[in-house]
Parts: sequence; C-alpha cells; structure tokens
Amino acid sequence: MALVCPMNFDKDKLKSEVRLTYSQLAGDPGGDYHFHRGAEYAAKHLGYDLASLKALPLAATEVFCGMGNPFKMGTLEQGATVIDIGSGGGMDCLLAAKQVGANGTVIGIDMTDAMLERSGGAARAAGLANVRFEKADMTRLPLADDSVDVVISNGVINLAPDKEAVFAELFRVVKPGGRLQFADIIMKSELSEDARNNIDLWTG
Amino acid sequence: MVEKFDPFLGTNKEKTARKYGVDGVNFLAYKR
Repeated sequence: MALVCPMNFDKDKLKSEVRLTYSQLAGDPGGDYHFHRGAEYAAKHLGYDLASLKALPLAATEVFCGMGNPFKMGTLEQGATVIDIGSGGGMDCLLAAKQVGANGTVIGIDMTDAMLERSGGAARAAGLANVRFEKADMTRLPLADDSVDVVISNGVINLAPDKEAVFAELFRVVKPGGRLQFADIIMKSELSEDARNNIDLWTG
Repeated sequence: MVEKFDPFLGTNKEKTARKYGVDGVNFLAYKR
C-alpha cells in the first residue's frame, strides 16, 4: 500500500482543497457534502452514545464527520494526555475530555481556522477546562517528545499526502507504552498512478 | 488490532468507494 504521493503530486493544492472543504463545512453544516455528519449519524452508524452526544454543544456535533469510532478501541484513562489529530468541531475531544477528567488533558490539532474557532467555542460552552485546540500540521506537532498517552483521530490521516511523515511524528510524541487509537479508511489494493494523482479522489 | 466497517454506506460516494476498494477500520497500536 502506498504511504506517499506520486512525485509530481501538488501536496499544497491538496492541503488547500482539504482546508477549503472543512472551512465550508464549519460555515455551513447543512450544505451538500459527500459525507454523513452529525450526532444522529454518529450514534446510528458508528456506535456513539446518542445521549452523550446530545449533552454536547451543537457547534461540536453538527459538523462531526468522522468515519469510525476511536472510543470503541478502549476507554481513555483518567489523567491521560490525549491528542486528537484533525479535531474539526471538537466532538471527539469533548468526549475525551470527559473521560480523562480534570487531571487529564486533551489537545485537539487542526489546520482549519474556522474549525478551530468552532471547537474552542464548543469547549467553552461545555465548560470543559481540560481541553484546548492548537493550529498545526499533523506532520509538525507543537508537542514534546514522549509527551502523549493516547492519540485519537477519526477519518483524517487518509487526507495526508505523506503518511510516513504523519506516523513518524505521532511516534515521536507518544510515550513508550502509549498508543494510537484511531479510525480511518484504507485501500484494499494498490491504486493506479492516475488514481493517486486525482486530487478529487483525495478530497472526496 | 483492527476492526472493519463501511464508512461510505448510503452516501453519494458509496459507488466510488466500492470501485476503488475502500474499507473503514478502527486501529489500535501501542508504542513499545
């Protein structure tokens, strides 16, 4: 399976297209997109508890468009330091913040300003002081080596043109004994060069 | 540890996803 793009692939254009899509989502959650979104979708298709999602600010849940459920792989420990790669509207971060408790820390990482505004506002509305959001590229995290107990992510790493760089960075920041607990999409077989060069297939 | 699911079921990308063989997975991996 290819973890990197073809050599002539315009990675900056891909980032820009991804940022545009999620900026649009942040500004217009009811718009026409290729992906499901929202609390009802998360509960019905991904196994989230609907009551827990309804207790969160709508600002966080209405733009949720994850494609799996990282929490199905295990409950986060009290006091843990958790990062969410591609935190979007913050839904998974707010759930994580409740699991790790007041002595834990959750850091949402996102590159889209409009989503960072949303998630920050959602955390304040939820009254959760143990969660914050940072603007960063997932290949250059503003975190020390061996500082994170758990990395969660939900349908984001597939958007990265260089996944080896992403996993190398995650390996750097995770503590020995820590873990990656995330949901994403994979290809069952190698894609053709033409398919991998098609930016529309990357962004959806 | 990996658990599979279909993330595009019922969306307007379901056909494209099936064409290219896309699976959804929940991953769990530990750093030694």
